[in-house]
Amino acid sequence: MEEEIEVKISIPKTLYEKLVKEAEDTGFKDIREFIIYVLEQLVETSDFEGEVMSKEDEEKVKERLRALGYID
Amino acid sequence: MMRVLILGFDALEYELVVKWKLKQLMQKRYGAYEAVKSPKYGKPHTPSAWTTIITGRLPEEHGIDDWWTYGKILDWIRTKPPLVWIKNKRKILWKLGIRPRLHSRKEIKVKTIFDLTPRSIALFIPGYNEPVEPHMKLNEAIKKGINEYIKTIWEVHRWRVNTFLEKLNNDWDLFMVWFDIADLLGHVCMVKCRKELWKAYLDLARLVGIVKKKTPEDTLIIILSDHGMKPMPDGTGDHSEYGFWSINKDLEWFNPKKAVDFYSLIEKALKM
Repeated sequence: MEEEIEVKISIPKTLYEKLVKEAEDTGFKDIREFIIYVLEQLVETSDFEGEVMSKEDEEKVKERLRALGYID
Repeated sequence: MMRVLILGFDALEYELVVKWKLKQLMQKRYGAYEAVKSPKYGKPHTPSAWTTIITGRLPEEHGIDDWWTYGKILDWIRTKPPLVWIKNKRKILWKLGIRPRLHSRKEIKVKTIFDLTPRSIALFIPGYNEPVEPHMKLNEAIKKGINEYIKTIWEVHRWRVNTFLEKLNNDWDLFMVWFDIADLLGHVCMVKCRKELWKAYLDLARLVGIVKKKTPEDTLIIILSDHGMKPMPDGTGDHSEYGFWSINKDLEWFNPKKAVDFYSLIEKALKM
């Protein structure tokens, strides 16, 4: 297991309470596990490297949805 | 009798659930199964796929293979020459005041899981009792651009969640509900805006957590998708050939391989 360091940060109480609830509902063991998960996903996942949608991309999405009968 | 709750998450992708480590969606046992192909579209398609799941029959047998219908006669005429050659038929018919409607229970030719018990609730099921309003809303939103479309997808989703959680308090032995956020955002965001899609998956995981708190422990919770979502070279997402399933109990006999298998598995669970 990778070495861990202890970092102390202050966060708003309401955010903390929301995170506790979110961790529980989404099936994580505790808030620590949930925060590490979210940060890992946001920072380390190449999936989220942002690409901006162009007008051409929008048209391709519309074509796809039209072909599947979702929109007119 | 075991209570059965089916959370139908349209296009929930097996690979993404595993990659994004969403334990709440994986539950105790999970897997992938071969999705049913729509004869009309040549690939898995929502209305025919869900109708196969709730009937255990193929589209050729249950009779649902599209979202919309103009009624038997007009549907038939539209596929024959010379009408088949005319483009934009839907727009022309709309101008003539002829509106399609979504397929519903009365067109399904065979019995469904909802006939297995008198205390069953079906909510938003495509091909069975899906309301038309969300379709109309989304259809209007996309005309204003992708951002408005994504915003509306979330609005519709929140409305579905609230309606569902309200109905969950009713008496039932079998409850099935359908959510389309993973499908709608999957088509848009599978390649270009995955963070938005991840947020949707996380939201579905959160919903499962809320549901687990609200239902008795002996309820069998089945999470199910009709097909997955794969990235396409044109930057969109399209339906993949397999679906996702998971259950909250260690039932070894629950091991679906094909979409037609679910009917008998649900029937067996209801008899336990």
